[in-house]
Amino acid sequence: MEFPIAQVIINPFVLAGTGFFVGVLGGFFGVGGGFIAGPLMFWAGVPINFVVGTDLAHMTGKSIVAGRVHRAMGHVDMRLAVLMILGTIPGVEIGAQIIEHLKSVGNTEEVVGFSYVIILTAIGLFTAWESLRAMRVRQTERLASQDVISVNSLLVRSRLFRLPPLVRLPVSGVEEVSIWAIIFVGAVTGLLAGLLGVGGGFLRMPLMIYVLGIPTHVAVGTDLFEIAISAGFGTISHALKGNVDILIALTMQTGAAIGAQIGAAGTRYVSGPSMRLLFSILPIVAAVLVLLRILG
Amino acid sequence: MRSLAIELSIYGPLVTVYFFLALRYAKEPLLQLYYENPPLYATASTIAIIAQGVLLEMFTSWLLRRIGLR
Repeated sequence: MEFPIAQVIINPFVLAGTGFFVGVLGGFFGVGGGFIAGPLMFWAGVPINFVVGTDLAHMTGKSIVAGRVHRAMGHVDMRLAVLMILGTIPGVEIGAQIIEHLKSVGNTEEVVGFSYVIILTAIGLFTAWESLRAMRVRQTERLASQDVISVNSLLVRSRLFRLPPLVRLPVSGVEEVSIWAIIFVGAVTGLLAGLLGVGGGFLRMPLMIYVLGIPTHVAVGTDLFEIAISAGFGTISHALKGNVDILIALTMQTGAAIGAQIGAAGTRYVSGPSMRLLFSILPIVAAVLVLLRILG
Repeated sequence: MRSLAIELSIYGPLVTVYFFLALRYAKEPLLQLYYENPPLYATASTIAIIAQGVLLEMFTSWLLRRIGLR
């Protein structure tokens, strides 16, 4: 079927199937799944600027659905989410402006593609290493499985970063953390959202867990709330710049709606470190897909 | 797994019909907006994706309650 805005021909069932798959990932891992959906669209032949904008549009609707499910389960820290938005929105806009600059220079595909590969590989390897360590700690010290985080030095260092004003996050069980640390996490992940068309969850979730000390299950729910905001803003910004094919996004979302519910229900049965170990495989797979398309 | 199978068997055909109808009737107006009025296209796109997300979720929940799986 032809999608005339992006000027590509793709089977709509492939798009709905991709949506279903990333919907399950979104609900289960608390990520928008953009880092998988984006490479899949790119691989299928969608121009990279449309991949970025359309991926954000698709994630907007899907993350709202998954976020509502997690909020009902009490997994969203609203205070943390609202503070993070202060960094997320400017970050998204800076990323979108960089895409516009790359479009005018004419090397968007290479820059965005290789950025994907580097970032996804780094995130995947780090998360795998950390979750394996955490699982060993759990076995030897018998700590609560959902709260085991092995990178204590990073956590302690960030907590020592007490640049005022400080804020308490009772829902997450965090006594005191600098507002600047929260805004920094939002800004970095917002930049990635605007530049790569991802919700930023694959980076925001590890940063919330390791830098801010948020429990994994709260990080999952809060992250989905953040994705809805950053992807919504990114959709408007990229649509104004002509980078969104909403027909592709709507088709993908039909599959994502059902996948998100199944994924969210699955979080009840898997512990924090195990969830992070499973999560670590996905960025590596996405990096390989992007690399194949660039080299091909 | 039973919930998933039942949901997929009812929801799948309905959604398939829906997206073929939506793609057929929305294609031309959206293409026109894309080229002629980008701010309106951006607004329409955002509203469409949010509305569809919420409606699909409500429909799925209603369906599950209706068949006694939630």
